[in-house]
Amino acid sequence: MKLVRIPFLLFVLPAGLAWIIPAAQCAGLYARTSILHGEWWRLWTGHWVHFSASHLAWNLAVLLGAGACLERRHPGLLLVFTVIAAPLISLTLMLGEPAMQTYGGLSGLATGAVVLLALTELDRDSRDRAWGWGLLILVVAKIAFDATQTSTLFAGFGTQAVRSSVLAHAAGAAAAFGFNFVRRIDPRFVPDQPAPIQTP
Amino acid sequence: MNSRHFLLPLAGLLALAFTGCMSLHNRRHHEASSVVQFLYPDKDQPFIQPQIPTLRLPLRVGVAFIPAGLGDGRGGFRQIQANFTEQQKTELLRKVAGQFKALPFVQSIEIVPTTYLRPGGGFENLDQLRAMMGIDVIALIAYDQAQNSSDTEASIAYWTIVGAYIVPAQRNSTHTLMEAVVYDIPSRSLLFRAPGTSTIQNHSTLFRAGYFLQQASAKGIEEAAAQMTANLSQELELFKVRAKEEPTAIKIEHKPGYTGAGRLDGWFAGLLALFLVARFASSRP
Repeated sequence: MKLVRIPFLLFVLPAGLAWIIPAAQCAGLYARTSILHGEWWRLWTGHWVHFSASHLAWNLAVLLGAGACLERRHPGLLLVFTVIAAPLISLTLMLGEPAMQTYGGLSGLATGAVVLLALTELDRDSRDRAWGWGLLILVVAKIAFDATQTSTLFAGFGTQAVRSSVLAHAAGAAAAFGFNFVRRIDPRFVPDQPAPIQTP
Repeated sequence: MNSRHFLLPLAGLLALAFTGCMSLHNRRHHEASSVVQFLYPDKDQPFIQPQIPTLRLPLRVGVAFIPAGLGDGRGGFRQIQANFTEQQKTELLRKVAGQFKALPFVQSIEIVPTTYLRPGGGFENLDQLRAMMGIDVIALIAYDQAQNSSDTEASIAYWTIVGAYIVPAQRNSTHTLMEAVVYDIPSRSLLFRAPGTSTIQNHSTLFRAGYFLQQASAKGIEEAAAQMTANLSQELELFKVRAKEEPTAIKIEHKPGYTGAGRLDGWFAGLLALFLVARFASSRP
């Protein structure tokens, strides 16, 4: 339970509240025009807004799993990554998808968390590296699948005007690579020493 | 002598009457609405070169019936008495609209009243609809139904008068073709088409032939429409694949102001869960 506390407080609770409080969705949604008019907090909060129950559920499922494992390896790393990566993903969307007026969803951050977990595995010894490569292949397969699938092009959401953004996932993965690179060269980005793996 | 003079003209009169009766037993009915006649009514009009369609998602789709009428050979149209009722047309339009409504990239469906289309209206008429209703793509539904009722060898029973009521000597056939063609209005491009056909053949008595033909007409339309909507569903799926695989043939854009979403699927979450469970089950200190 201790391991899922941070992912729960960081993602599940605020995303759940945003889901049930419509006013919070309006105030927090990534809205391009509003951001350009100075509502910069939306660069962070937009990720916690979701458009359907399945949209929310699968994003949180991935974040809970990957986040708990990341907390087990490097306590505190997920929080720092989230604070830094959230606006980076939003800024990438502003530059890369100028026609997209609004955006919501934690999947960019979730993809970033999975990639960061994979990179921390790669930093370990040779046996653990195989798992790290496996995770990276899974993420690359997911992004490639989304980029080539017609269902993503003609996205299926409850709201007909909503389209899946592959760029958000790619930006999340890129943010994780960048974050891990900086973390390795600057110790200030390492909030804790790697925790030993505990066997049950 | 007198009776011979009387019988000869009587026999001739009866022969003429029976011939007349025989010729009355063959009935034909043809009604149709043609996509080609609607879109290209003027033979002198230069061929309209379609451009590469650029679909700006989400789409606003119109569904309409092409007005029924047959060309008079002089560039004009003559109205025909149609078996296809307005109620049947409305039901079919609703079914077709339902097919499009299920698509995630379709923003809205507009059922275009038949009166908004004029025979031979062409792309100018579609441009008017586009401006008036804000639609980008239109599904035009056309049909062609030919009915024929002809005598068989058993029709000789009609000579007994009673035979016309009890002997099913009329061979009736109803051929129906229905087609939905989907056009991108700005580029004048045909995106895809979905046909449906029906053939109904039966026998009836002479005096019930009209009723049977009417029934067969309604059934033929129903069958062809059902086949067409099933084909339309398949064609829509194929179109989605084609749009992805042939980006040079169909350009897909998103209208400014669309909403994006970062979404992970169940399969990804499931695989990740399996992966992490396996990873930490085999972990060591």
